[in-house]
Amino acid sequence: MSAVPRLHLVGPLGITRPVDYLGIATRAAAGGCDAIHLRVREMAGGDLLRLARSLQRELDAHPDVMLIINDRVDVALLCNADGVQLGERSFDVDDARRLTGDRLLIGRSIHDVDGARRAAEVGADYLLAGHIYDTPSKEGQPGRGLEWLAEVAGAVEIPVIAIGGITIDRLPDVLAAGAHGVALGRELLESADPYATSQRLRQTIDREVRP
Amino acid sequence: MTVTRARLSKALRCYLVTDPGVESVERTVEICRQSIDGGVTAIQLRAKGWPDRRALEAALALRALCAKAGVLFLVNDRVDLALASDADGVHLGVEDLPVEVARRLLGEEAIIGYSPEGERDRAEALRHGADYLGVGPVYATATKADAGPALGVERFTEIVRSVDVPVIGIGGLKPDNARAVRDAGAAGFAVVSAIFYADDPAAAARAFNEVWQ
Repeated sequence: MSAVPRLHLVGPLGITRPVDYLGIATRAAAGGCDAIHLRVREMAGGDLLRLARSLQRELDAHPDVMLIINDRVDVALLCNADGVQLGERSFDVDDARRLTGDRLLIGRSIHDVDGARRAAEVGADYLLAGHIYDTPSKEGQPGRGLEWLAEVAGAVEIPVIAIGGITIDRLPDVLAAGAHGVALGRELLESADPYATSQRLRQTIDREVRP
Repeated sequence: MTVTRARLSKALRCYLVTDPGVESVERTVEICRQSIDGGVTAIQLRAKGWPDRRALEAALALRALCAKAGVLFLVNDRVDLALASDADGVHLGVEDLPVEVARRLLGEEAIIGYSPEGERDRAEALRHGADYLGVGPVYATATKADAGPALGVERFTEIVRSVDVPVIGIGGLKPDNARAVRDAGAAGFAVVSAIFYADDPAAAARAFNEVWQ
């Protein structure tokens, strides 16, 4: 199993046309994102597989960048993705693992410490923990904060990826709280220059995380 | 796997498709249990719009129920759900994963049904190894708003005769018009509302089966 990536792009989140996401994802990958997630709601399997394969082709130029498909284990296996991202409404990690074996990295999104422990126990490879800061996509729900992140990171042995309102300025604090890496959605999707933004994020990670 | 391909035609006779509009797993399973008592021979779980977790819970319950009763159990659209629940196979449509792609994950043994849209699509699905076809709407239907205009019995009969896999008729079927589907040479008929929403699903299934005898 390959190492868990540290800089994740999560999209397209409905703010761009799926086809635009290919361009943003490619630029983000060139800039230093090492995981590109494909998360779309209510897309038919045939369309999703086509989109995933297009993304996979775009990422051919960046063999170290992982493609991670949300929810659909079948599509993840069929497009030769590197991982699948599961949430509270998805298959359980162990159910998914029976289908993937060690072929795919399995990430689990969590929103509380108990959920983090359970996901780790049933074999998640990493956790997506959030949201850390207030973010427009979670209006009315205050961010869980750095102390919470540190608690999650302390409760499990697997890598924890922080998500929700992450910016370059906040990145050092997030990593210091115990995050293995970070995931960005809008922060990167709406960036005027996803390549440059990814590059700056990457440089900060490489500086803060001593090998 | 409870149903082999050799027994497929027989298993397709009375085919119940669940409606995700009934959101309770318990209720869905109970309706299926009663329908099986009435003689349903195949069940397809449609869980479109359901959280995957709930869909899997229903699939596992239906898998156990169908295995015990010797009833074919198929999953609509989701190959991963079929694999996770050890279903007999999947039923796919034009927008779903392609038949040959689904086959790669499911293996040679699995049963793959397909609902074609038009002649070219039908030929392609058969070339790619679809095991049976769901063809319709035979009659006008309210269950699927996007199902298109009714084929009518004559056209349906032509289609059944033009392919060499089992065909089930779907769309607007009731006990009093299902006989025409049998006479057309179909292996069976698929229904949603006529059994799933019947006051007595077992009695509704029985009424269909009597017509088919």
